Amino acid sequence: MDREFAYSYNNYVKYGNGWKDMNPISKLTIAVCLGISSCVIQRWQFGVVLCIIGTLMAVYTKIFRKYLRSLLAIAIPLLLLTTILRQLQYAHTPGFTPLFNLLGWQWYKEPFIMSMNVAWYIIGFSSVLLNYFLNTEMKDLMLALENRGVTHVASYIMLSSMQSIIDMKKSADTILESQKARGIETDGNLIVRMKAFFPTLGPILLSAMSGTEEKAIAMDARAFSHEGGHTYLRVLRPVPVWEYILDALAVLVMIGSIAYAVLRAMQRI
Amino acid sequence: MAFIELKNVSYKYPYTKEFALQNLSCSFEKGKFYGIIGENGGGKTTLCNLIRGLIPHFYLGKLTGECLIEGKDIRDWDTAELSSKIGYVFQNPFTQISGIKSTVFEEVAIGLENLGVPKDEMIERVINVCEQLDIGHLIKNNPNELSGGQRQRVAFASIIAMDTETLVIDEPTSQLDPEGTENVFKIINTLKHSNKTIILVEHKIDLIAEFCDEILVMEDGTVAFAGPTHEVLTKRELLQHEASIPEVAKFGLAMEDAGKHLSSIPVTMDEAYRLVKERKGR
Ligand SMILES: Nc1ncnc2c1ncn2[C@@H]1O[C@H](COP(=O)(O)OP(=O)(O)O)[C@@H](O)[C@H]1O
Ligand SMILES: [Mg+2]
Repeated sequence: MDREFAYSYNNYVKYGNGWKDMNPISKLTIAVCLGISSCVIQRWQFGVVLCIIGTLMAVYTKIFRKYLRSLLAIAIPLLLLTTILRQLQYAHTPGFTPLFNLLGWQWYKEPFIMSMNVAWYIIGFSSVLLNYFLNTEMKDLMLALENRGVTHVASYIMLSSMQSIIDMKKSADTILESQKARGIETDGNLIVRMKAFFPTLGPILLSAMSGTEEKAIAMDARAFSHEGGHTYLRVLRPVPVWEYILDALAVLVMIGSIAYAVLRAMQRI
Repeated sequence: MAFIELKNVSYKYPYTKEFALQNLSCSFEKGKFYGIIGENGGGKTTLCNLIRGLIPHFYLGKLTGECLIEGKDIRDWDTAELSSKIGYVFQNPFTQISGIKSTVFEEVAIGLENLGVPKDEMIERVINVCEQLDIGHLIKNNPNELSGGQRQRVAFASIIAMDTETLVIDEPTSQLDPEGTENVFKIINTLKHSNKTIILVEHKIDLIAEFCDEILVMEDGTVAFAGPTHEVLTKRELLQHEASIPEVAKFGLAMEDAGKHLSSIPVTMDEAYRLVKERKGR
């Protein structure tokens, strides 16, 4: 047996990178505050800065590939859609500064900036949240919440639902595989795949549901409802002061952004 | 007074017509090792569910008769309290993994977390149990990706780690190969010497014969035979029942039929060897 591994549970939960090792709730506070700031400011400059920071973070925390894949899936359609829609919307509005001419289609500067503002506030927001979710294990978040008084029942429901989704995906794959083996077409266009997939839903849901009763009993056998003191094998590091300072800064940024947005709105009136 | 005492117990699962237990009476004493055998559907698992209080607290249905644990009616027990007193290893290994832990080590520790065992002690206990159950090499694995046999051992370990005074174990070896089975029985043997009360449902009759102090044979929801191992396993009537008796006991009975009596009917290999040798020497 790997005793070193066993005794590593004596230490606090540690991943070895500063951002990932932060308390999930401190991290969430920062991510949410910056995300909200991006949404209320709605300036492309802010979004771009957030996105640059987020991307550097993703490189530092070694999640860059996953991060980039998800971010591009959001950013590319968003950028294309908003720019084109805004140009079409304001195509015949007089008084805008011409930007360039694309094969006879005149683009203007002001609608272009409007579209950039919209697209980048969403991209900035996504970048921050992706950094959060790709760098936070759900079990750590639940553990942090339990430390703050959330019951272990809530935590169990959350975590086991996530596992059931994984299990359901697994059984769907198994069923699809066996359908394939029996010569039923499972690859191809969307309709073919739908046709193969829908009949599997029944058995998948049934097997997921029939397991829950026995699971509940099995958890009961592990003294799940035992009262009086719960201890933890995995323990999160006590929150250091600097995390509180970072959280406070993030809250300040958010308050500043809200103030800025309010002032801007008042000026317009 | 017996530790567990059942008198004229009948039970019907919800929405079923047939009784799963019928007019069953039996008792279990502290510190003894009981084996329960009998045909499939005979009510062995249902009896375990009752002793552990899942009936009537979890499975509703209709329960009549008296079922006392330490003199207190099962209906009056709090299930949380029972869970720290009576450990229960279930028959189906697939539903015994919590689904909320990402390593086997954490999985085995769940019961201890719930019981509030201090962390240092928790780690030591989990290490010991994993070594005992020969799952030391699995501690880093994801429990949701184990095979049936591995799950069965992990589930078994999780319950043993809780160190309850009483253990109810329902077919712990159904998914195991001969080697794994022998291993589980080694553990059961060490548990036996730790003065625990053990109630074991198992089909492998030779193993039952070797380890158990007393045996209950279940049939159609009731106890057909009960008593000390040797007494029960050498009963001729058992030959007519579907419950199996050890091959060596059948051999002893056949010798008797042929007029070549051994001095007693053996139930284990060692015993048979000794008796045959003794007969030769006569
Ligand atoms: N959860 C259940 N709901 C309804 N009927 C059940 C349930 N479990 C077992 N039974 C029925 O109770 C009877 C006894 O089953 P069981 O106790 O599982 O037998 P054994 O463990 O000896 O194979 C069987 O007829 C079975 O169909
Ligand atoms: Mg059974």
